[in-house]
Amino acid sequence: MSYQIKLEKFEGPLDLLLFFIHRDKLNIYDIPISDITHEYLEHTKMMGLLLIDVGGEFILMASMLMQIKAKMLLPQAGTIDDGEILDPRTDLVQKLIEYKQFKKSAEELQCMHEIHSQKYARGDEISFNHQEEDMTAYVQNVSLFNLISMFKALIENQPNLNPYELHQEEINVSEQVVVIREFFVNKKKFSFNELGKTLITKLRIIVTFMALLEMLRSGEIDIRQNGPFSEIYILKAA
Amino acid sequence: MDNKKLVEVLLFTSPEPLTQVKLNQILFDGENVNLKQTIELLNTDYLKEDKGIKIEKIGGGYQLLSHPEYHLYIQRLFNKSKKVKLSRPALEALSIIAYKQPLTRIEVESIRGVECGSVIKTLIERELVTIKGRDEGVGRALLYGTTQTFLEIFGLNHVSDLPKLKEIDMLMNDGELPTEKLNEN
Repeated sequence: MSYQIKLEKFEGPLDLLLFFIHRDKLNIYDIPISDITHEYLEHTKMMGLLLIDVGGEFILMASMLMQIKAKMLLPQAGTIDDGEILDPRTDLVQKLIEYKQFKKSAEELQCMHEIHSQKYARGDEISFNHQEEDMTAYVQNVSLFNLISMFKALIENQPNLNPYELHQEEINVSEQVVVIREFFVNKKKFSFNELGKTLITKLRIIVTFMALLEMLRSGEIDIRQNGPFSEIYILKAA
Repeated sequence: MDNKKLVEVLLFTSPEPLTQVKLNQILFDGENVNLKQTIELLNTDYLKEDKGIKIEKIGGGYQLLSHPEYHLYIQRLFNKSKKVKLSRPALEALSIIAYKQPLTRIEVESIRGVECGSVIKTLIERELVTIKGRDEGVGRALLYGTTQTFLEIFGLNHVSDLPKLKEIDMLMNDGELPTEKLNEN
């Protein structure tokens, strides 16, 4: 049983990059693309482990980062008109700056609202009384990436457990062949379902199926079906 | 008839911001009151007499507002805060829409770098954002913009009163938000 929690898409790839830039106090105009790409991929991997839906936009950004990284390794071929070397990071930097600008203005809006919401006008008690509480607001200060960083550290710092042996259920094809043969003790044929009912674990089903195939190959049994979707019978070959 | 008293009672009773247009409809034939001037006179009085109320221009009209210092008491009176809770993504999308309106969902998404459909839907449900028309370009995508409610909730008279987008260098310093702009009306 696993829980599935669906959250509004909180943070995107740009948030993740800004998170690194902020955390490591990087210069946004001179992003160490190799390091940040590495970090980015590590974090998205962790998100995958946590079963957080890593959307297409994360993958797109990953490929963009790798493309920039590759371009930076190559000797600069393209120059713009005034002879200045075109930095492959330019587009990304601009996107980051624009996004950061709006993140800031979002905070400012919040401030403005907080100030204004302290001033009441006639009728306010009516228009604001029926307002539903937005639960997502309560988690707005928790960054997903903070959690992921913590999770990553947790995994990396996990002590090595003393390895101990687990005795797996012994099951192999030849053993299952014997089991199948036992079905023929009293009868000439039996149905596939009959056989299936005796199998409990997934492994057992797979191995038994392999045993059936093996017996079919060696000509020991025959498999018949009277029509599409009807019962499949296993017969002892003549 | 005293203009100041008239405007004051109208502001006192009106659940919506009062505009000159609305005032003209209320006045009887031959009467004439300049709302803006009268408001200025009233505000001067309130300031002089150190009142608990002030008139501010919100969303194109005038409103009588309580002094913020006493908001906790009003909150207790209503047993509810006026604060609207919006998630961070919703606020981000809202600010992009507020500054760049009218614009399409795709444009919002290209700035945020994530899918914004559900966030915009929330904003529309909250009546903070509305459809303003259709884009001329391919696909005739819907264009979004902010509403009157948006102005009222954020205490703005007009979208042009939004604080200017901060200079990039200031942004990078992550400094405290300047508050002086916020108190203007």
